[in-house]
Amino acid sequence: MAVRKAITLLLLGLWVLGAASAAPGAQPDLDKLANELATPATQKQALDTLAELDDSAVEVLLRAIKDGALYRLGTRLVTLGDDGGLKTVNDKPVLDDKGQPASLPDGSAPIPLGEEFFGVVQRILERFEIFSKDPSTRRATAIKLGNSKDAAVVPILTRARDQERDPAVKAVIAEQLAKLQLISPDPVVRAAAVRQFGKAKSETALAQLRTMLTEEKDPAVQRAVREAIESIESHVELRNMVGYAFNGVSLGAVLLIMSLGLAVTFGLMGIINMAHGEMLMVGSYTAYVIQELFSQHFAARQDYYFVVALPLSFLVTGLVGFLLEASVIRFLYGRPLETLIVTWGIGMIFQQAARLYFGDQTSVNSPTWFRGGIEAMPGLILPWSRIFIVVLALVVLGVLWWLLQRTYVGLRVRAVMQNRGMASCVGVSTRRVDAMTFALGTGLAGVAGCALALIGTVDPEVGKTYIVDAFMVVVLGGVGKLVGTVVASFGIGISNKLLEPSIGGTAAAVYAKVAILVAVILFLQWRPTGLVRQRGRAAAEAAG
Amino acid sequence: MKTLLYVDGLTVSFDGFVALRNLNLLVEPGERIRLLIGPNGAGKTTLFDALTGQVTPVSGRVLFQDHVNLLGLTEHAIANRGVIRKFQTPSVFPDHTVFENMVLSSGHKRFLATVTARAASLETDRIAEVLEQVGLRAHAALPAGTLSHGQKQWLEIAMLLVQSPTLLLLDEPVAGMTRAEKDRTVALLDAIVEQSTCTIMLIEHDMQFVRQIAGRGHQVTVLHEGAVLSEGSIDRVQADERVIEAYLGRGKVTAEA
Amino acid sequence: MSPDGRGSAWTTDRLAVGVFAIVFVVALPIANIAGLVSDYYLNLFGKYLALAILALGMDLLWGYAGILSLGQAIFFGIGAYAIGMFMMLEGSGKGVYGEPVPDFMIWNQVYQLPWFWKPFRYLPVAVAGAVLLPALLAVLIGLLTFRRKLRGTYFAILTQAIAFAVWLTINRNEMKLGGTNGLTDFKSVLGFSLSGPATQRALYVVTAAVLMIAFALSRRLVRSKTGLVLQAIRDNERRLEFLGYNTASFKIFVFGVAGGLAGLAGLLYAPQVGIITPSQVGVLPSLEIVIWVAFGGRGTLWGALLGAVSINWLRSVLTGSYPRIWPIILGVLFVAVIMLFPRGLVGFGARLGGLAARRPLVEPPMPAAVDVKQRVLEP
Repeated sequence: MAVRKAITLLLLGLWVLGAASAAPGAQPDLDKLANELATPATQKQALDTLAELDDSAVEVLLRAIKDGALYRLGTRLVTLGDDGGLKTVNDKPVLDDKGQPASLPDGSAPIPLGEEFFGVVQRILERFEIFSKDPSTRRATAIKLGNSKDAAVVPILTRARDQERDPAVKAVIAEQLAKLQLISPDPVVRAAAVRQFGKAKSETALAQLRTMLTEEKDPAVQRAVREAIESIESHVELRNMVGYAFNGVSLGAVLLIMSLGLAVTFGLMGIINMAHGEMLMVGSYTAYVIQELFSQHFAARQDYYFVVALPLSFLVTGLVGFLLEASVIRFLYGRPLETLIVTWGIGMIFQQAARLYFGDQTSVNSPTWFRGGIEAMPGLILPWSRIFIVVLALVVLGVLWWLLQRTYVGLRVRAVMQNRGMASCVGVSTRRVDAMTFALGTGLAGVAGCALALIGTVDPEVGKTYIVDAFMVVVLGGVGKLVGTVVASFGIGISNKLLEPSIGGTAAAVYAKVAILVAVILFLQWRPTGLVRQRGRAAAEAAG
Repeated sequence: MKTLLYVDGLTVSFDGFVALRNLNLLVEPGERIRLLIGPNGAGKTTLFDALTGQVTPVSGRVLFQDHVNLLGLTEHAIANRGVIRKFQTPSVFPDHTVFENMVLSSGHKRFLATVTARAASLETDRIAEVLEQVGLRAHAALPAGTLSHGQKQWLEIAMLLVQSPTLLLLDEPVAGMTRAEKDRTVALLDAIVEQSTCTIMLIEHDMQFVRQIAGRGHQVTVLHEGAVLSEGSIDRVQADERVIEAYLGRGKVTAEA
Repeated sequence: MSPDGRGSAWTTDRLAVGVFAIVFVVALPIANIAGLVSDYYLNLFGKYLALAILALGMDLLWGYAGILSLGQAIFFGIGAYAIGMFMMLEGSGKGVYGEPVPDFMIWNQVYQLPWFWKPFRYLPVAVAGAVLLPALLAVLIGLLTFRRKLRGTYFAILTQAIAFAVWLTINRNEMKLGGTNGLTDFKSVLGFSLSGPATQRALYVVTAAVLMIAFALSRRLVRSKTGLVLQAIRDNERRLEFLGYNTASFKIFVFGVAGGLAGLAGLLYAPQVGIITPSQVGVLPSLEIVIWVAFGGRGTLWGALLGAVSINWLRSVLTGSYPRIWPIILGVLFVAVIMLFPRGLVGFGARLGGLAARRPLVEPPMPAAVDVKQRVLEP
């Protein structure tokens, strides 16, 4: 960063020396300029000079004349503030003879601005938005100024860069300054600017550099341009890969949360719940309903809906799971194929009910905290919402592991799953453990649904989209093994997203899915018990 | 043929728990019944599991009839070599009739042979004969699920016998039987020894039953903690200090299991 | 129960097959010619009977051998697409564009017939392909799964994933199978116009006859020793392995048979309905077949027939008037049939009639063992 900044400064210095005409003299005589501005005949000339200046007073003066708040009081020019107070063009209060705030005599008319100059004034004023309080406005202004190809904005951009505290915006401003240097008449400055873009891997400059490639006459600069383009392009490729991989990681994270639920219900309990996808859907719709409730009743605290929705999606879905276990699934223990068919039917009922009630598509807005993201590499922004999902998946994994391996509850659960008869002999209520464990598993699907709502639309089909992948994860990972589930989730998620661009075309997602399925089947030829081997009820069931 | 079964240095472990520890065992071709006893967890059933291809040992080898290595063969391949096993709990096909259970056990097992099988190949006579032997001939038309516990055990033995096994592995054949049923089973085993040539390896906890069988001069092998502790006639084994030690808490081997 | 009582049951069963054959293969078409049964209903029944063949395969596979495949619709689809391709090609050149390729290809800028379409210009290839390709695919999947001991729920999940993948793939236009719209607008078979009632009647008779033959062969299969083995696989596969059976071969066999029957069903279905789309090839249609069988009564061949016809009739009635709640009704059926009527209509009827639902499959020769050898297998 420091090197880049130093180079930018140096270049700027060079250019400033090289193009001395653009540099204003020492302290501009504001009063004189203001007077020129107030005189219709010299208005254009004054504006030309003002356009070259970088002084906060320019903004005050121009804003006043544009808004019709510039008056002549005696020989002086004064601006009329919103509070009715008068100020000089140097922003000092105007006092009358008695030392009291002066006021305009009745019937004073503001100094007019020639109609043809409004556009010019507006453009100059816009430059000052680079000092806006809102970072995104500053960023946008910097980019606008950089694209203006107007050397006059260099001083104001330079000042803005020096004042800027937000490092992200500062980088943008510096980049835009360098962009302006690309059109410098001096080939040395141009070449240096080009090299800087190459080093900074600036993707935004790529288009301009490509144009330069055809227009640039100077061979040295041209070589620099070619190198810079190559360097940027290879960076873009790398960045895309990282981006795809990260999307894969976040897809894997959703899969992981969902598959952890399956690892509990299918891996631990041996229940094959085809409605697990619809449990995810229930989680998504819970988030949606909570969001709607908040926007109706607590619009001011809209963002906090998510704080409520996340745990509630777990509880609601868990409750649905509990009822499902108590009313249907417990009668089907030991009959996995029947369970599969029945739960599929339940899934259909849920899915169609959701379609009838909520319609085909609804969407959940991420809380504003999740807007934006981390710029992991130049041009690669990892959205907060996706980062949150990855973190959430890891937290869920940790909590589940802790719950099962380190707590009394987990001890009882494992006892029941491994030896039902013995567990009930030592006083564990197997019925309660079954119901609660199943509720836990489905609840996790709800959490996955709530997380998924952050990055996609919510529709009744969402469950069917993920259920196949989730079961693939469990089969591939090795039933009942958390480690296998983690590896398989991220493996399937990442390879899915990495395959898509390499296959290319609109059907990439489809073929990526098919390719992964084939890979899973072939893998199971080699290792039918999945990545991680295990013994236990589910493994015995898998083997026969 | 020098040996019928030669188990050499067999070691089986489950996630670090060693179920069989360098176990050596030899069964001669002419031997008719070998009794396997030992306290719970001694590795008796695990030994059967290893012999029938259900667990994969860490090391060791199992030679059947001198040259067939049983390790690494699939379950059905082992069965087709004549090593037939009866599980602890009766596992007949409850929805099939007694006769159908016997049909499944006898005759061709290979797919193509089964598909092309004719009525004449069903070995009806042989099935009738074996059912007669175990006393189930009258029940041939009943679904196996409706039989009593003892009858199921006999049916299962019949299902094994009809396959003309070379080595018959019986895992607790009299568990859960009434005394009368146990006595009938003893008679049944006597009849098998008399009428066929197979060798039987038998796991049993019921010491009265063991003594009844061993009283006919059959060898007893005591397993303890995954290895052979003692071997020989029932009297010799019962007098062995180490055996008494292994059964500590029950005082003597004579205690009913 | 006396052996005599069984003998009469056998006869009743054969009688039922005969009655079924007379009613559906002979009487119904004659009634149609006489104007007593409308063309619409005859066609509707033709469709149901084709689907009954599909259910028959599923019953052999799931009802008897206990193997739950959630990909049967793929095999059905292969059969339907195979004959569909034949019919499209017979109609090509007569379409709007007069090109030698089906019209939908023109819309996708395909002017050359893709290589895999070419063999389907010939009816024998199309018919053989419709039955053999699904059977071979089933055998291949069977080899990849059963031999690696992927069973039960694992097999179900894998076939489901395969069905999902196939569905995703054939929805794509670049597969040159008509994309989401599927194959439709069939004009004729061997020059006979498909819109003619005589052609439809002929198709109906063929379907009913094929169903009867398939039924008779299936009946023979389940009563053979192979049938016994299949049911034993369902009840306790491990035990069977210890009896010396390589169960994988039997499972691959029955999966192949079920695949072939599914293809056959598709072959007969497509010309009668006039359209085949990817929506009939996915996971849900596969599961629906399971429900037909469960509803009718799994493990009984009559159950498969009854289930396929009754549920599809119900669907025709309900999707017309309540399309939006049909999925819910279907879902409730999934739950209710398995939970409340695990033996389906046949089991329910048998209970009503006080009869044992299941007769021993191989006639026991005891106690009189001597004279039964001849009638142990299929008499």
